[in-house]
Amino acid sequence: MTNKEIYDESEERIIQELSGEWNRLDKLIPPNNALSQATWEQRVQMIWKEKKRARKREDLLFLLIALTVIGGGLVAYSFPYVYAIVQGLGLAVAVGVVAVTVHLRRGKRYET
Amino acid sequence: MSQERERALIQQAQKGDSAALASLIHDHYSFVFKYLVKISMDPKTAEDLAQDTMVRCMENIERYDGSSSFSSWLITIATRLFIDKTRRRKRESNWMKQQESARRLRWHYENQQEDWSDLMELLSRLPADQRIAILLKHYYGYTYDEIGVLLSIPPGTAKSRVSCGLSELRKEVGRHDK
Repeated sequence: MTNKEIYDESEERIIQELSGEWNRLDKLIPPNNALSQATWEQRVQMIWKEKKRARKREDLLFLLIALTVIGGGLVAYSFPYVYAIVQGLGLAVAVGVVAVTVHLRRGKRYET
Repeated sequence: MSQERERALIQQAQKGDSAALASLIHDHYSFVFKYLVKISMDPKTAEDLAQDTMVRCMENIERYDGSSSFSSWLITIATRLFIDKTRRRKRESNWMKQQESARRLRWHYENQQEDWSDLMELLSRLPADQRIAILLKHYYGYTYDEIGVLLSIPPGTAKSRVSCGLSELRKEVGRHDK
């Protein structure tokens, strides 16, 4: 018998033993929480309802974002000065927040 | 369940018939659970993942395109959930937990006065990806191409996982026999 034949034979033996073990496992460990069909149906309905609700929420959010973007675009187009002022104010607030945060952190570092 | 009935139920479920989907899930639950016990080697994890698989199936039934059998589709979902869980566990420090899972299964065996063979012990120590590949190839009879599709890996990788796993088992069995 060549080495390859011995190798193949031992592999075949292991596969057979594995199949036997897996068959035994199927018999020994049955599912604990196997639900009835009616219970599954209730779950399906619940999950589908929740999915529908989530989809509606997403659609609404998308609509709001789209409206905001379009509205913002229209305002910027119609009243460029107002748009520039609002943007300037926004930028100033953002820079202010960053400056205050940095200042506070520095203060803390010196205290410790 | 005959294939025609299954196909009809799937079509009804995709049109929004909850009773049809419930019937499909009820019929396949035990199959999915048994598959998950074999890959996770832990009845508790298998139970949780089987439930999760069914929830995913409910959420995505309209995406099932019939290119593979319904049971293969469920196996794909179950395997991905298991792999996700294993990855999460890995991050949480894994080895101890995997051993604990196998111990739980062993406890089930001993509770029923069944002996826990060396092969089961070796199987529990094999990396999960190799165990899954061997199971799909030699127990469920999938081809390497099909396993590749199920696990989203190239067929060559599937083949090498099977052969690495088997050679690891053979080596260990040889050591135990000595």
